[in-house]
Amino acid sequence: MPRPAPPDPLAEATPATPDWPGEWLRGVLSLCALRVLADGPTYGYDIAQRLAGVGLGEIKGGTLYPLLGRLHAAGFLDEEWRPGDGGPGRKYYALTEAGCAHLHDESARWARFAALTQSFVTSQEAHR
Amino acid sequence: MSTSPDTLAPHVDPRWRDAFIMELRLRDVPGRRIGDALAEVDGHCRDADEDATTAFGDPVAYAQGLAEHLPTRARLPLRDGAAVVVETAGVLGVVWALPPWLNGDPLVASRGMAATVVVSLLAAVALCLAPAPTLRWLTRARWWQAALAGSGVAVALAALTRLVPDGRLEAPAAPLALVSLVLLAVGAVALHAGGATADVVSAPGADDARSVRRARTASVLVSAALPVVALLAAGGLALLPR
Repeated sequence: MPRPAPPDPLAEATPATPDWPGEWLRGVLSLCALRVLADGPTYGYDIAQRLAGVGLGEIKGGTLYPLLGRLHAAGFLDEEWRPGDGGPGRKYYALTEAGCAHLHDESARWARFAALTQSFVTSQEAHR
Repeated sequence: MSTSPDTLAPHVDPRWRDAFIMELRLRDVPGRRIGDALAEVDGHCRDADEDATTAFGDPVAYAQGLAEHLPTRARLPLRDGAAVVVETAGVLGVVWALPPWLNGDPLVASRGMAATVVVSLLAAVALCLAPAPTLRWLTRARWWQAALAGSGVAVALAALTRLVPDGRLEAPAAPLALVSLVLLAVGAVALHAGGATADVVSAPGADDARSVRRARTASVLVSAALPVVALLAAGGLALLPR
């Protein structure tokens, strides 16, 4: 019997409309955008929708597109304009090999950082 | 594909669009890159059913953030400045020297005319060499600021006129008209060859041979517009009763 697929952290998160502090999002947003693109190429508005869907809140275009531009300039993303259905086209982003490697390495580091932060912030010492 | 910003970004408020394009132009971002960024803004506004200010905030601030990782055109202010000075000198020379030549008269210049030539050339050089913040201020100046700056130029012109010896300056019109015509042609060719007039804001994917031909034709027409206007003005002045 095949083993069940590991849970998708994006699908598992609880959709909500939280108001996360901006400095929290700035630190992790590029990693989250790369994670969305690990599921396949897509366009900017869809990335924003999916990030909102997992509970990260509304990501404005003015924040998202400069971030995607920086990731493209760093060689982590490919860009391609695809024609729309009878309308104007959309620019699709796709992970490059360097982007996949960056996501793999940085997500592992982020997990260690998040675990460290959680254990420290929520430790009994902090509540004395 | 279209290269007009109107059709390139129909879902973006024209004022937001123009401020965005202006800021990226001031930062020497190529037209094709500007078109790409503008089409992305338009697509997001269409998908999100939001206006550009809601989704992207202030157009100038957004353009500044975006320009940090976009490529820029190499600025050649000396070459561009030389082309504009030559063109300006050609326009002034044709407008003033062609009518008396056509009428068989000598060119008679007042000291006001001489001062105007000097100030016009200095203004052309200053605009070519001006840093981006100065040009940005000029594009956003309010009417009273523009009026103040214009008055300052007029006062400088009047003061300069006082320095020129009084009296009529006479010169043969034919050689001056011919030299001016040459300057006019050289300036137009230099502006076209420099590529600035061909760097249109183009839609993504508009890199086919037809679009390149269209941009080249537009560049030729823009470069030729000033000489044509100068020749028409000179012709009109020549027809005026003496």
